[in-house]
Amino acid sequence: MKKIVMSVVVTIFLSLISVPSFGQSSNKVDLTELIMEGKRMIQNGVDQWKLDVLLNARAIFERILSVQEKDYLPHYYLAYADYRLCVMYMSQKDDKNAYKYIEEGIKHLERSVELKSNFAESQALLASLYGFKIGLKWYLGMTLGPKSGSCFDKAVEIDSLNPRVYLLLGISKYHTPSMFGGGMDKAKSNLLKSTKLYEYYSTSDSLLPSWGYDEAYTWMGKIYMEEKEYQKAEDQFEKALLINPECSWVKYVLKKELTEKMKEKR
Amino acid sequence: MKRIIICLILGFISSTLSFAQDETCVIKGVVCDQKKERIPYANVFFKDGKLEGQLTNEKGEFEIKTAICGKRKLMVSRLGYENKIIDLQLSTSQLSTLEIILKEEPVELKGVTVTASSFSSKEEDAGIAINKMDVVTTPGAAADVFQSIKALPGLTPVSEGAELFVRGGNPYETSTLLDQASLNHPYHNESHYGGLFGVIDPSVIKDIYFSSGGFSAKYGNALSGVLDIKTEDWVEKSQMDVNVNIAGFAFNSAFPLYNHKMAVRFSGRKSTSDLLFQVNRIRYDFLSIPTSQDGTFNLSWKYSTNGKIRFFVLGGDDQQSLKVDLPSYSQELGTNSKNVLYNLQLIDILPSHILTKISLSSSRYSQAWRYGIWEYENKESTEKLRWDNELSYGKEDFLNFGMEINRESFSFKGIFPEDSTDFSSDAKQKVIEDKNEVNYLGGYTENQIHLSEKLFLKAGIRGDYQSLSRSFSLDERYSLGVSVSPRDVIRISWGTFHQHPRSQHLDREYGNPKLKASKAYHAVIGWEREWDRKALRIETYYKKYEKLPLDDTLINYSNQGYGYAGGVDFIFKANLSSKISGWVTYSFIQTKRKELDFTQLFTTRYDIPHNLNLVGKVKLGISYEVGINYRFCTGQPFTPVVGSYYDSTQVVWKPVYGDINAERFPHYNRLDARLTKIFSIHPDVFSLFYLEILNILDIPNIMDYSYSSDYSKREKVLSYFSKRCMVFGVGVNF
Repeated sequence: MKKIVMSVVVTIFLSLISVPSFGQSSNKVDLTELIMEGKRMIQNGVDQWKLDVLLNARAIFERILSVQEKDYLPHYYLAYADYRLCVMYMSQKDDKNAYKYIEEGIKHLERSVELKSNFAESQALLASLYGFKIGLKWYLGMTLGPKSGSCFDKAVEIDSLNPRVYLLLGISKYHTPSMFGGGMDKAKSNLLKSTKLYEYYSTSDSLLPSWGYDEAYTWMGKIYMEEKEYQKAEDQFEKALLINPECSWVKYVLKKELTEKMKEKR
Repeated sequence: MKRIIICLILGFISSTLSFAQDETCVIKGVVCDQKKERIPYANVFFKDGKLEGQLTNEKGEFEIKTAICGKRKLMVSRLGYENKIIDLQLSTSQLSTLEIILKEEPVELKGVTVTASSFSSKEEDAGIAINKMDVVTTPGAAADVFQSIKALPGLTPVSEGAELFVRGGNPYETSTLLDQASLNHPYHNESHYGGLFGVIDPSVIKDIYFSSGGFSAKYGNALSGVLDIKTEDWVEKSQMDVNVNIAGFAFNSAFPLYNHKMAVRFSGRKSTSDLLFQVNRIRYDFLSIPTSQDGTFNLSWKYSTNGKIRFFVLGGDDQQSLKVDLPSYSQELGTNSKNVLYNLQLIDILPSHILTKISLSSSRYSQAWRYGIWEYENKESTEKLRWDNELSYGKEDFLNFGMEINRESFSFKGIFPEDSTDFSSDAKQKVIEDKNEVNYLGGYTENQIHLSEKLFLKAGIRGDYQSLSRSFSLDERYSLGVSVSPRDVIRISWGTFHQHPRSQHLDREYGNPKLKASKAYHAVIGWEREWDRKALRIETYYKKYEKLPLDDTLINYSNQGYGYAGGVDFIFKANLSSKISGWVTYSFIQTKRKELDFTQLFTTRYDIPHNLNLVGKVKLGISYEVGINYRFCTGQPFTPVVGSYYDSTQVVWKPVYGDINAERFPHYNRLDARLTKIFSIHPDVFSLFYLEILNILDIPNIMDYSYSSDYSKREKVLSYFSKRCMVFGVGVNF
């Protein structure tokens, strides 16, 4: 009898200690995991060029910020999702939605900078979004132009070896007419620097941004294509696909465009 | 031993079973707006636990499964809508189905925009915005702040000068503030016909707030309007601008100092009309071409995260002389004026989260004219301390309070003819000379609160005291803002406004030092709608004036004058695409007063019933913009000379005047155009070139009449821009 009672008590005891420990670990969110999931989803959205994937990614960072507003990194990633959404809407000539996401992105990046002023990624992305805003409302160039330039300067000052800073600077110079300090030459020199820096840049923290390596080659290829250096353009696109075989912009748009231009040349 | 092992195995299995027990709760539903239209891509998630959630699909539907049941908080968010949090009790035995209604985010009714008749340069303020580029690129405005504001509704175009005649009021009834300091003479070349341009270079302006009526208790000593200008006081990166045009040149520069803890800005402008007249073959009887110059200097220091001290100086002067032929006299009329303002300002946030601003300012103004043996000089100086505070205690609720102390000194001396129609060299003279000093003390408080989600009320009270007459005035001001839909706002403002008499009316010998403040009641109702980058505003208003200065044989002036102004203002502003934008304004006004030498209620010279303004801009390519500005208004009233008689005693013809303001000049028409091109002379330098043609239709608009010596013939005096005129210039930005 004693042994039976002893068995029952031990059984109950083991059940009880297992359930609460499960409850404690399973009811709390792992924000690190969520950030990683959101980060992956943004990349998928960019690679597949899908609006709903990007919106889902954005939603993840919104949820994180609802419980952890004072964290600079979710603000950065939410704004990065806005940056991608804005690019998508601008490609569809939907200025109204593009402007909406630019404003939201700027708001979150300004908050990210407020929370961590020495985070070069936020400074560089903020500079880019200011540039996008000028692109939609040209008269803001007088006030936002200097602000954008100042943010890029700060980003370089904080982290002069960050390839994404030069990638965004190169893209910005590409979209800025040479009369305003932009142009192909400046775009190329910044993008070249970016590709070199990507070879050596690494971070031990997997939460931090790591995008853009393929994009640096993609933009180089686009510039070479516009300059009619088609062989060089093809080389750059191949390098981009080696890094990221899923990049739909290169696979389905730019390579096709290059093939047509090469045919015309012949 | 065997039994112990069996117990352990049973215990493990039971704990595993309890782990594997499926406690999934499901919640599903739809997200809609208030019209029950489904909202796709709304973010629906649990704000606790593991933040599980999903976006609604294109039909606005969602379904979320969660292993955490019981009390949960569900949050729903979507750009353009207000967030919603719902408390739920989830259970495995019951499927939760929800219909969630999201409200569109309301039009933000912040302090500026609850009040009717307001225009602001801040884009984030709801309502009609005038931005810096509007100032710089409005055709015909010569990149002048005041000329650009005249394109807004409610501004009566009494002259082509820069002075602001707001809803039937004279320029003196509009208060101009520059960073809390008073700028009592904000124009160059002030004359009977108005000052031509402002003394403020647009390059130093950061924000502009303008109100044509019903303005808040924060602003005192103004019967009709307020222009509140904030200047640039900071810079992140060194910059420099140089502008040269056919009528002068300007430069401004700014750079940070001491690791971005300090910033310096300075600017300078010089204008001269010589080349403008030569190129356009305009002949005026100027003996000395009108010239003006002004400059600013600003030094700012950020001593803490929120705290800043700045020192600002503005200085300017102007001069001109021309031959003026009066029926009784013909001589050179020379005028010059000087203007300087010093302002020390502190801005910080107090520990109780109150935004506080303190300004200590000093200004000096002098104006002199000489016409043969006749001359006049007046000098004014103002010392002012102003303190403004703003406490936000809710999303859009705030409490403002503040005070100001002014000391104004004025002096004038001059030699005038006793008979104002006889300027001949042997006419009887009178010498006038006086100086006086008056102190003002004012204080205000106002509160803006939500009465409900869509209803805002702003209530303020203001008290002012004047030392000479020892009079105290109390103003109550109210504004109501109603958001009738996400796009439509109705604003109602009403209240009382006092303004102290002008220095010339307080003169001890020729004025009345005991003269009290004039008073006006304002009532304004307006409707504003914003949609798809377009904005429309219609407002109707009525102003009743009391205690206006009126000539009095015993005491020179009494407070027995009165009058009214009423009308409708309309503005429609649109960005039709990224390349086409513009606005159209229309104003209707009727105004009469009995003041100064009026013996009864008369139409004033500000009674210009219909006023239409059309501005359009088109962007061509990436570097060209073309704009037009068309103005039409009905003729301004004037008092005709209906006859004359010969005064054998004074040996001069004298006019016989008809009824006051009984006739009108012909309608006013003017079309201006402007071409702007942006280009670069160096990769890091961008430049702007502009070409303006003023009065393209070459319509000779009249601003006055002059008469022969016996008043039998009259000649038109044409307006400043009565001939087609070309202006061009180039600006360079480093």
